[in-house]
Amino acid sequence: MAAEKSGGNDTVVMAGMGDFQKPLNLLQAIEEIQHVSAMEINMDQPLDKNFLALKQRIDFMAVGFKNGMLNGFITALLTPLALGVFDKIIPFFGDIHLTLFDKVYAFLLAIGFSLGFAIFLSSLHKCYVGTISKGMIRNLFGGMFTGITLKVFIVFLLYNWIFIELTPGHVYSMLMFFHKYLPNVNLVPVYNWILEFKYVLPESVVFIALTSMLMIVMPLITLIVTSIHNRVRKEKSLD
Amino acid sequence: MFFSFLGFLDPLSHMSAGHYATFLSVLFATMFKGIGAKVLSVSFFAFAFWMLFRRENVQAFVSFLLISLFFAYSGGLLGSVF
Repeated sequence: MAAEKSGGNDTVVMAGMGDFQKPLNLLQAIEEIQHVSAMEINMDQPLDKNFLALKQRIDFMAVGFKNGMLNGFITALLTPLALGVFDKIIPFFGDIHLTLFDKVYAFLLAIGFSLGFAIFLSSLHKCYVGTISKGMIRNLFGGMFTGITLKVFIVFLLYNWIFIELTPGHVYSMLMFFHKYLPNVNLVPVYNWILEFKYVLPESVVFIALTSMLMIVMPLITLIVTSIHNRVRKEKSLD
Repeated sequence: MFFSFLGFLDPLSHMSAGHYATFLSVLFATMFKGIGAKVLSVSFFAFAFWMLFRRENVQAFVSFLLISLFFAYSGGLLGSVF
């Protein structure tokens, strides 16, 4: 519990400011940020930044990191599918001949997760008001950006390793293993498909890196714009 | 009583196996291919984003997006079965 002098003689008692809940997931972290920013927005004097202790900073960072990794891996799995559609290797809506709508929609589906989360997190700019809420958002985003960067690095290594390992000899020996258990299935189309599909992987790495950039840049731009906007408003009110 | 109810639920008690196979083929051809799949997939995609921004429900967003992905990509896989 913390007491804060607000302007005149009134003392505003802020219940629960000292004991933040440990956020277990992204929604709880956002909820916590919204509560704190709602309290901070009406304060004349900013709170001490040490209100947000090191443990809580790490908690927010961990939630961000976890979500950055998880969201990134979903996008990483969907990207080769979308690029396979563009290269007419994977059927889309049961057809490999695509219209312009199909191409745009396949692209939207591939970036859907990243786009959704990036726009959703950008909405946190409204809460970027006080010392504590700013600290929470910075740590959450910092963890998320670290998670996304690590994901891009892992995907880069993994997809390039798969690309190198998918030689005709390796694919043949792998399919011969399955042929023991499925002797009546014609595996020649599967062999051709795998050797064709592997060329999607290098371009997927580039695409994943670009969509990851989108997920980092979009919330960052909104925070910078809000920060500048708040500073200008503050200077105007002082004048 | 229970077994007669199960027998009533069995679609093959109401139509022949041939009719049932044709019905399934038509159902899958319209649901997972072409315009039917497009309408369903785009609807679920739009619904997913509506859930995220209007309701702020991340779980529903992920679920509906996965359903829209299923309708978009399952046509090719099911096409080889049906």
